Amino acid sequence: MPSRVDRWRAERALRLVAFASLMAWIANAARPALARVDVATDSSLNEALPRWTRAANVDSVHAQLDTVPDAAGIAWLGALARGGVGMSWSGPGIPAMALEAFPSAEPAGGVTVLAGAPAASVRVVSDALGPLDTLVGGPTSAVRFASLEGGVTFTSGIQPARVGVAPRGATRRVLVTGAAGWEAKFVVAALEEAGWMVDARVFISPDHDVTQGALAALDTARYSAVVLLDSAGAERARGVERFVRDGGGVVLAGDAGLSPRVASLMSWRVLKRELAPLGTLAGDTSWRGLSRLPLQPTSPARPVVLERRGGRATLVARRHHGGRVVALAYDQTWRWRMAGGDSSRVEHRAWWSRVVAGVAFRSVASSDVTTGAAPLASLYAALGPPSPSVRALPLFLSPSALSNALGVLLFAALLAEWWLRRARGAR
Amino acid sequence: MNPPVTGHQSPVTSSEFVWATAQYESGDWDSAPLVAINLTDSVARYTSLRVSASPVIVSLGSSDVLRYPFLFLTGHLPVRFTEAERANVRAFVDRGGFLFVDDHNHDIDGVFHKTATEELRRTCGAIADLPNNHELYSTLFRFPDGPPTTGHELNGWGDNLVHKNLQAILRNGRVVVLYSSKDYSSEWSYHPENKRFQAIDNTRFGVNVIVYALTR
Repeated sequence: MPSRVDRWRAERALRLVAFASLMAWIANAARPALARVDVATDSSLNEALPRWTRAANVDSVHAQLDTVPDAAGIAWLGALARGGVGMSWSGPGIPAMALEAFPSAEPAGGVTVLAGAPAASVRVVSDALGPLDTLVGGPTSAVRFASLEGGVTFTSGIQPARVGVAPRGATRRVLVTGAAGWEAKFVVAALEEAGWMVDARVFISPDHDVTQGALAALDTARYSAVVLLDSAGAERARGVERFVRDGGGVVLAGDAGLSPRVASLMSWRVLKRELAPLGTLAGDTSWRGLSRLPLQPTSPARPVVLERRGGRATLVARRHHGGRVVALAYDQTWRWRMAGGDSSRVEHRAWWSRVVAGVAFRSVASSDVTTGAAPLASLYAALGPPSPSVRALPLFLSPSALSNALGVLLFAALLAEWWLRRARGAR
Repeated sequence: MNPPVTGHQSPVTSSEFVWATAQYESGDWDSAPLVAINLTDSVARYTSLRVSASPVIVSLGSSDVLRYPFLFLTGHLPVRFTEAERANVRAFVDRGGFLFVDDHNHDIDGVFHKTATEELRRTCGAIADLPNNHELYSTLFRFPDGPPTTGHELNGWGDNLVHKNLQAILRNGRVVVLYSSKDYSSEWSYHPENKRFQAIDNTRFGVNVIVYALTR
């Protein structure tokens, strides 16, 4: 049986609770009305989108994402944002990635896939039939596949990127021109063995040249690329700049870049010839023929350096209006083919074919950035930059629920205090 | 003109055309020593090609043959390649080199012709007559009747025949082995300064062969 002192203490505690509840209730009622934020995650987004579209009592919405929604989801979110709904999103775990796939210009066909994603993630390229390859190494990769079924899917962690592959355009011819010599002979042979249709014009004296094929003016209707093997070839080429403007490709080999005729295509200069140290094997791909004229990028339009040997650029490329230009430091690759190892002929052929395919005219634009090609970039484009993550308040902490709870607590405390006073005989 | 040097002494990285005479184990590979400098002189005379003034002699048994995509092979005696020579010739031809073989005997019943054609057939494949309208005959100078006749043919030396055609082995439509029974080795083996005594330079066909090798 509690003593009178204990009861008196309990009464005082209950009065204190009632007073605190009253103060809290008043404070809760007096604070400004909080905006109501509706938060959805990946799993609940499909249900949230119709709700957000219809709801009248939602002040703002927040999409808290682990992966980028599909194209329809992004479009819906963008429409809500443009329609006046306070839209925000967050997705700190979504990787920045991009994917491009286009048919290779090489006669052998195939599809080239360019993919970029954080190097730390697990990156897999798949087609409609399943996984094709796992990418390792740096954040960007270029992979060539002999064939693909359907589109290409590139996955970084759990985030996929998807693109279709444009149909392959008609293959056009390649023009090779330069001074007569082993380099001209073996470059033509290598390209023909790789399946290219080659026209050639090689000079054997100031007033005599040897031609192959029905030579025509440089035009993207006939040629996809021109290979200028040396300064003699560059000096006598006509209309190269216009050809590149129209989308054609140019390969400048050896000292071709010394000709003023191609100066407008270059953002580099050709340096003095370097010879391989005595004892270097002809098959050494550091030299690709024991001789090279390194390339020095010049500002401001710096080219992309695709290959560097001994600290010097040996393979550079750049875009020039609609076309592409690539320059090679090597001018005696025939030595690689003739005197290299057992596979040097195949390697020489494949290397030259890839170089030409890299600049060859592409009839179908391949740079369309679709939602699937760069998912995170698409989200930025539709919704703007992300905001910090928003945590939805538990229901019992909403202002009205809190007010009700405090009221109940106040009433209960007063009732208990009254009962205790009655129990000890007081009024 | 400098005298021929052996292959390993030549500059490694020259991009010039170098006349290379094939040295093989059997036979007398050096029976026409002046052909190299005479043809080198002609190429320099009629074209603007960069030409090495120093022809080389290269052993067929050495991988050095792959450094010289143009090889000249001649002789009077039987030709029997060693295994190493055969492997190198096969690799040379497969990779796109050009082998010019001339019968110094001008005799299709002679030992060089019989053994050399047999060896080439065994090493590189079937050998056949080259049509006289082939582009080899018009690459620089025009020879509408095919290969020019030689003094030894007209004088009745050897088999006493005027051979109408050269023979060839083709790869992808290109001549990779050119075989002559016409004895150009005798026809062209003289010092280049003596060209001034000729009404028409008889090495012009040799220039055509070289230009063809460099451009096809």
